[in-house]
Amino acid sequence: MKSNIIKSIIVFLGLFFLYFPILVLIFYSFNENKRVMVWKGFSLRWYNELFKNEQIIEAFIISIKIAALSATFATILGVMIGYSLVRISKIPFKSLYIFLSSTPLVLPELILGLSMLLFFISLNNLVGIPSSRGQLTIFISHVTFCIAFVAIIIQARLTDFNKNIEEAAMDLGYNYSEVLYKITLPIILPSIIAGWLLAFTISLDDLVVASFTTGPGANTLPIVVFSKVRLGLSPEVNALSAILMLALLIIGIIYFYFNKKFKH
Amino acid sequence: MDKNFLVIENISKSFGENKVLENINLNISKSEFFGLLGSSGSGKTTLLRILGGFEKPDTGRVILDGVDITNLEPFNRPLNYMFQSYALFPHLNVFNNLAFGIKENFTSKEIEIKVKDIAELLSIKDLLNRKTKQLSGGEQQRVALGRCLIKKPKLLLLDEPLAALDKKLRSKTQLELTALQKKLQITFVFVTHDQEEAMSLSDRMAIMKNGLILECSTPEEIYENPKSLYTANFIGIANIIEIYQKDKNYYSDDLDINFYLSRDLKNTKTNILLRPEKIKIQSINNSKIYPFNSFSGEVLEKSYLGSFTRYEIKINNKIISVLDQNFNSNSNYNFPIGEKVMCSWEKESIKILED
Amino acid sequence: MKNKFFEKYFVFTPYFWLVLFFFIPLAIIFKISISVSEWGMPPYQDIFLFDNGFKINTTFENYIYIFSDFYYIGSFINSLILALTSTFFCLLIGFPLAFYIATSNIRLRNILLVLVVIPFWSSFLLRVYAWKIILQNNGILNVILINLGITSEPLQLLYNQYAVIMGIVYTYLPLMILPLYGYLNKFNLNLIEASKDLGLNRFRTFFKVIFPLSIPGIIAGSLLVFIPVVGEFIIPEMLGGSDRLYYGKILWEEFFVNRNWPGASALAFTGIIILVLPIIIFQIIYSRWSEKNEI
Repeated sequence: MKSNIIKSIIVFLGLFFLYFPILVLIFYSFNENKRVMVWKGFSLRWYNELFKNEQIIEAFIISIKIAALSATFATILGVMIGYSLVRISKIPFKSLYIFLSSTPLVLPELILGLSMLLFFISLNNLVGIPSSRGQLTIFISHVTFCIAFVAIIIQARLTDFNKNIEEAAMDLGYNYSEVLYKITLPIILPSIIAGWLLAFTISLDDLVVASFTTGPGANTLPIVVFSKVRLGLSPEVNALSAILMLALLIIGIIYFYFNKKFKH
Repeated sequence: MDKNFLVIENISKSFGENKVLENINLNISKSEFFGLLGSSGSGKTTLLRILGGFEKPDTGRVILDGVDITNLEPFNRPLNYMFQSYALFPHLNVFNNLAFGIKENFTSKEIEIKVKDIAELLSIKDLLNRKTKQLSGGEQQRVALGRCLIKKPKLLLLDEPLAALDKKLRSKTQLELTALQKKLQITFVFVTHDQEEAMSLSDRMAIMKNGLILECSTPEEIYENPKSLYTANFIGIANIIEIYQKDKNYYSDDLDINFYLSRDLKNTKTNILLRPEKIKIQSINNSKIYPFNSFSGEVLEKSYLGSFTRYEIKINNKIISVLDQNFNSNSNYNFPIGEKVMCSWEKESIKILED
Repeated sequence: MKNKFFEKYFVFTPYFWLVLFFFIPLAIIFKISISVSEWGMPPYQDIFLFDNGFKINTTFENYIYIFSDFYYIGSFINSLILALTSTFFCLLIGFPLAFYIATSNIRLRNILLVLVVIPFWSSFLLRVYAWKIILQNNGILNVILINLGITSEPLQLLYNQYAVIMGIVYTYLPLMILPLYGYLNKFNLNLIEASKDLGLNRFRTFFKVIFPLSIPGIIAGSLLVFIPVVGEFIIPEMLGGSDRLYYGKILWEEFFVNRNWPGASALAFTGIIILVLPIIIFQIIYSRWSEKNEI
């Protein structure tokens, strides 16, 4: 059973590596001291300060709004792509379709952000809209690069899907669109929810693309946090981290619940 | 012949709460073709995997050719295992699959000769450069077999060797496998859930249920004289009749007839087994009804199977299966549904299931 | 078929969106990268001029400018080396983890998988920030090292390329583990048993069976780490020092600080060519590989 011990040690070390920094962050969020690294005693002081910080609260609201909207749009479009790639054989320029719907997965955010910014500027020069950059331009950019993540989840789900179920429904007199809306979509609903949650988190977490496409009055949470911690440490950000980590961990668990659901 | 070539001694194994094997003891002779027959969950595959070294037993020992191999790693055991999925390496061609286990110990010249020889033996010489994916099920099975046999193992373990083949190929492969085993004189132990496969391949076989060995003997013995109700039902078609002592006779309520037995019962009440091919079926007009070992009934169903016909005969409250060999070339010989017939048997054909 | 009208709708709605908001922006990057730069707003000339008849006004100056200056090429090379090193360490840590998770019993496997991926869900920026706390001069790692007597003075752990690699390996590890797990999970464990049964010990079984069969998973995981890391901007910005300049930072500064849009676009488009090309090559190799070996 020597190999079992080695196995447990490797798995333990791996998990320790993944969780240690998160625990350190949460630990220091309870430090009374303004100097983050010097422990002065347990306190909820920075949580208090955090909730009084209007800049952070406002950024948080903007981020949530953009994330929810872009996740919704990305989910609708992503489901359409996932369905098309698995179920529809006639797609004009299919390789372009595949290229467009999968490249945002791997393209560095920086390049994506730059291309979006130059696009909005060019569009503005050409037709005058968007007149200024802000929440709308961040929203469009986020939808664009979240679509790919939703599409890949839906595609995987539909590939596993037993096509006989759809054929049985057609045999029983349902037409194509009825099959889609009454059979296929309800069955893959957990995956659609999982896709939405993933898109929501990616949008909420994005700094680079938002930095390029932001404008007046559209400072998202990552932009504000980054400006605070770029050069040093901030006790308020520690408190924010603890809350956000916890919230996102919960979203992650819900995601797993929906993504795994269809497998059983 | 070495009767204790493979000794399985007090093997027990649990997975968590679940007891999979309980105190298994078996002795297998050299060059024997031995079958482990059981339904799924009987523990047969776990036992085979313990022999292969992929599972460690909780208690007990495995002794092969006088050597205790219980704690040896799979790669140090002088035996080989053929997987149900065949487990051919998809990144290697047939040649390299066959040579996989001997690459260490031989020069490339020797390897080539050995591979050619084994490919010749199994008639897969033309396939050596193929990818395993391009092979049919039967071809894959031969490669899996060859990959093991090339190592000249003392013992070959086969997990459901024929389960992945279609029906026609299966009976052909059965014959080939038996011939190959007799030729090579290697001890084979295999696992199957298919009773026909077990009967046709095994020199001896063990019936397993819930981690126990119920019976271990030759296929003939197990079919003709099963010791338990479970075995009687599991192997072949069985008519099981409950009888009890009434005055000096043995009587069945279901059939409403008396039985002659070849010996007296230990208990007053028991089950007896009557195999369907032991029952003689006759037209009721040509025969007399005896008070013992015969009854008249009505043909409820029949299925014509070519070499014989299977009847379901209703007698009183019970339905009895009867297999009648079609001696006569006259097709009118068969009894139609609804006809009254007369069935009878010899008292030696009745097997008492007292255990 | 009238019934199938929705299919057109399904194909073309996202098609329209992606062409408009993804393909055209990429084309604009290319267009600006071959434009002549000038002072003004926007800081480049149009590529089509209509003053005295139609004239195409393009140039490869921007590419020549990038490729003749070691400042840019060097940053590319630094980023590629950084990506290679980080990918290697992700693989080194990720492979055994993925392998052991994939070979655990099914209940433990699901729990471990969730545990590995959950940190990936928490904020990327904040996970990088956590390392800033750990690697401080008076941070937890230095405290441990001093208490163990390994060093008497706090070490400068932050603001160098090692801190950057650390941060990248930490944040990108789940991206390596997931595809590896995907492949190893489908792996027929009988193959490992068959190899051992045929006489190969654990070590040789790994190199003869497990490793060759997980190559597609290794490639997929490596690409998923390698490509974004080449363009990584935040981690070097937070944890790195001035010892190394990376592609992301150069691109950012070329655009926002130097306001050289054509130069930045040429940098970006070069990045696309260098990074997207390997994906296409990988997909070709992979589809051929999987045609030959159906696992």
